[in-house]
Amino acid sequence: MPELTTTGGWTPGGYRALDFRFTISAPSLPRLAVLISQAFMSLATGGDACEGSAKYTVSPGEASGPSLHVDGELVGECRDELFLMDLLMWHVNQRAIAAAAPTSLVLHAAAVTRNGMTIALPAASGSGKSTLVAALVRRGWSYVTDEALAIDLESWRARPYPKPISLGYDSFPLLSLARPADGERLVKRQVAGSTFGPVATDDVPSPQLLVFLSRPSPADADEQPAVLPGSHGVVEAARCAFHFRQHPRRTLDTICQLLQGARSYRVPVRDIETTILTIESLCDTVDTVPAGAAR
Amino acid sequence: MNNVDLHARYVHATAAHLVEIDGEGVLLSPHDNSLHRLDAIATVVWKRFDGATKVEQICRQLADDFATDIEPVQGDVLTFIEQMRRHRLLVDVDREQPPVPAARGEKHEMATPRPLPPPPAP
Repeated sequence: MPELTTTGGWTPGGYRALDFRFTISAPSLPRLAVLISQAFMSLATGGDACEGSAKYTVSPGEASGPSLHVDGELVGECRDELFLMDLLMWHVNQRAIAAAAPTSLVLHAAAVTRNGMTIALPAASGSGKSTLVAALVRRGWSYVTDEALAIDLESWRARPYPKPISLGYDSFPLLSLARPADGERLVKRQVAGSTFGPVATDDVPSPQLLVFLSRPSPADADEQPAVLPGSHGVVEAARCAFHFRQHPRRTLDTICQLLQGARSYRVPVRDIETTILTIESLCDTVDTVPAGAAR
Repeated sequence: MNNVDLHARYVHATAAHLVEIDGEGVLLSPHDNSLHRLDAIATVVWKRFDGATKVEQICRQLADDFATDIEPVQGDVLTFIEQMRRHRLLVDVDREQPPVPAARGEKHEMATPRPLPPPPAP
């Protein structure tokens, strides 16, 4: 199997994750700085950091591995570079989701887009949505996010959050890639979405197709994709809404509006190729008029 | 058996919030932010609780609307009322109802989703 190859070097300047702006510096760790820069390249703003950006600093540890600080406060110390990358991604994620909440519905979902069609895969961590998204991007879909789908409440469009795709050790062979040579199984690898294909840079239509993944038991081996009735879809999507407890009414109204212009399916996850073909075939059943366009 | 009185009048609990999609409803409970799915008929029934109309009148109207006998309608409506009361979504306007513990059923607990879990301990 081929090994994963990434391109690019150190990108100076700032990054933006939804509304969260930040810089990253690793002055004494040039190799790690390049790894971070490669993974985060799709979030680079291409300009200088703006005022108010959070400042991440990676430093060599004295007794242990590298440490991560944000605005001078310790986030954590890690055993090695891999764990530090994971910790950095986790922290950026938290900040990005929090920063988007006032103006957006933020779903725990992966998403891709192509030719005016946006597909959302709302699901909990560990459900395989990052792996599926990587495979969809490889087939020509543009990468929107693998973690947090933010739908702007004013424009009703989805905002790209092309963070590094977080791939587990066992995801690599599913994507016909060699497992990471370091052999470390515990930590996810942060891989730039552009490694797999195109990346969305501008706002995209809100999803017209929502795919809720299910893991059929052996007894349900014949389970087929099924339309999810509207009220079921609303409840399932609400489960995946960040900040539901803080804004329950607003979130419920927004999700209902979103689903009124979309179709929801429950799709059993089998091998990745079959699942992707199933998802793509469902695109033919939906209208590409953006959800909420009738508002 | 249920304890609902056919002569009682019920009103939606304050801040109970219904959204409708494809003729079905999803109710948000203000008590605990749980969600409750209502099928098409339950959604129709829910809207009839205006605080002024007695349960028996609602049942009679429903039986007429759906051209069916009133007995099964009464049974279904009384069961529905009791479920809604357990979740504090309906209030008896003529007597203050003591809080009733939430029951199991079609309630959907809304846990806050987590993004990525914290990385494993290095």
